[in-house]
Amino acid sequence: MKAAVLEAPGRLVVREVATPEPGPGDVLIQVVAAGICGSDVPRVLVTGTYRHPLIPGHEFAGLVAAVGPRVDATWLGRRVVAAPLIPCGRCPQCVGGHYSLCDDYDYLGSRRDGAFAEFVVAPAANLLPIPDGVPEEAGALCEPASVALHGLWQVGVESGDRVVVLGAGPIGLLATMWARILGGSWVGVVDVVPAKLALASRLGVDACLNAAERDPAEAVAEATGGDGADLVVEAVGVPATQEQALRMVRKRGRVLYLGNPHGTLAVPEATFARILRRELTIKGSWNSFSAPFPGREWTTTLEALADGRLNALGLVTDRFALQEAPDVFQAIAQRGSTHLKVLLIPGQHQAHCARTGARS
Amino acid sequence: MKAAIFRGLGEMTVADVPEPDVVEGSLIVRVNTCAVCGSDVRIFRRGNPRVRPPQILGHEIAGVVVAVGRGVAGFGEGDRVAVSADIPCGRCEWCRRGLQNNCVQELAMGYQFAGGFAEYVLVPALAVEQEVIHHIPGDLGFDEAALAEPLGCCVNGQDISKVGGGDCVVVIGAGPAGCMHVQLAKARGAAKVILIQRSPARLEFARRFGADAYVSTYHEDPVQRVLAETGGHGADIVIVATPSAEAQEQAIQMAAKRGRVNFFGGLPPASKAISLASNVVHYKELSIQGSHGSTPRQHGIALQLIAHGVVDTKSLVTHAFPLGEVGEAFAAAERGAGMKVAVHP
Repeated sequence: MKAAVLEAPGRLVVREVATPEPGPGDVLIQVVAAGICGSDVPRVLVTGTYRHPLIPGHEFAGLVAAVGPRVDATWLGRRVVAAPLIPCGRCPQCVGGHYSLCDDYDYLGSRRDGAFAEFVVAPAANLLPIPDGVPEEAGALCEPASVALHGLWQVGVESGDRVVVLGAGPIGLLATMWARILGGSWVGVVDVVPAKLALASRLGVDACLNAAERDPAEAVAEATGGDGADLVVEAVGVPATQEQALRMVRKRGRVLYLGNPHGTLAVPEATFARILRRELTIKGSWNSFSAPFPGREWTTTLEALADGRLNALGLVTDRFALQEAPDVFQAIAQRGSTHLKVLLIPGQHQAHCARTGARS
Repeated sequence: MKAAIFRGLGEMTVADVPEPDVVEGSLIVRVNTCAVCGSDVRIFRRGNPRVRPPQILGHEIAGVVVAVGRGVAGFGEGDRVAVSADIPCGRCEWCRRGLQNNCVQELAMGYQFAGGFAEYVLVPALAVEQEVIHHIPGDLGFDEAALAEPLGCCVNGQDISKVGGGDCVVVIGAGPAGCMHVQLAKARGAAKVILIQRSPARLEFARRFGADAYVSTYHEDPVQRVLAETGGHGADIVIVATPSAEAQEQAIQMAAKRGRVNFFGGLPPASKAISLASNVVHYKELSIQGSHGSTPRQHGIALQLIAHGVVDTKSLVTHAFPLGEVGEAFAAAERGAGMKVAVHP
């Protein structure tokens, strides 16, 4: 099969590899669409995966092409999404249902072969059927959508909340969508790239603030009558926004840190003091999983895709064939890139299978 | 092909796995010898953040090229080669300065890339480009050539300590590394080499390597002996080639004024801190150095030293096991049964 193989950090090569066989409990999935995650960019270009060679890719959907021993044969041919995390099931975290925090997990696309390929093997326990009418491409957005939802459920969204999201990337924009769905009355997003803010505006975010033009904390204060937001979601991961988040939130408000950090944060004394003086709640969130595995984050996402509440496909700005993957990574890594969610379509020449979702 | 698969702490089994594919820029080597390193045993017992099971360990490799990827120049099928361990990225600040053993990526055969405890090993394109693989000169044996990797680390250590003409060098630890250090120091012109070891048995074995004095710490105080051997002057260079905190602390006492003390071996996690006699360092104007790994160039130099008979590594391979007995090989290495244990897949 064709696959984008990470042979060493910085070397992504598309070539023929043996098609894997599903073992006991596993299925073989024909990948219809696989999304590139923000975390894949440094993984492919700089740090590498846990071992080489390895096929990256952990946001995907497809068709079950084969089942291994001890797997219910009715999965064959079904359209599915698969959670990429394979928890150990035995550690205290797993036993408590906190699979994201498993002490010894395996993971498609970083610790074992993932979905930037025509086929990928995943445990049947990780599968969820894609509802009729939902395209596989939307299914490929299930993982990041679940990440955003997992975070918001942990920090809590209350009816009427005024929510500010820092970062108009895929996770941030999904957070803006969920914030509305969960009852938020007003949602603002902050970024420095005009094209991303324009997309956010087209997707229906109430306020799109450019932090390069005006201090976003000031803009949020103005929009909230001086109070600050009820909830701030930091979905960038740089020190500037990590600090800003603490200055945009009202007294007794909540701050959710979702963005994987890059860089060391020095918190000015006055900013840190706000945590005490305003009795803030600070919450960190990781991944997307809960009991029963993979979690209601995933099933709720699929329901919201099916009934149209969640316009995840609106985030897709580009679709590329698998062989373009090495160039695509270079393009995404450029400063000022306006790619939002990029999908790799292994069967690009078979365009018909991705659109309608009418298959069973 | 058959390969020893590390599956988890204390778990390694020989299994049949697909042979690696030769891809553009890479080489496939049929492994004749892969020697066991202390670090392999540590990965096996305690794990390592850079090793994600299942993985094939082993990074002291010598064998024959059986497949050459498109675009590879300088290697042909049938070439006898030695493969080093550390794979530089070639792009970071350290690699560009020629200090590839300090590469920020810390990639290595037998860590993020499958290693040599298997019938075949893929030498990835990055490793071929970075010259991590060298031709074995003449008809030098595979066992001897496989030890070019640890000898390369000794070359790095002695480059850092500038071991040279007329120096008095103390080597603490008569394991394989210590024995290579003794020979290397002599070759570099050391006037006097003193080898220190606890067990008399290991010391006896090491007599064939031509140190000028052998000290067993069971029987005498090594610091006193070094001072006696040097007329009270002390050693110009002390290389601590044993994972002992006490040896590192004593090394300072043995060093002459302006001497260099090289912590060549790392300490186990349980004993990471030592008590440093700081005033001794101050008043004797000592240098404390660390060294680890090797650059591809040093691996090539090591291979030449072995080929030209300057360093005898053949005697250091005292045990050999087929791949099917890799468990016994690791057990022998763990209990320090002899010197180097080789696996012949």
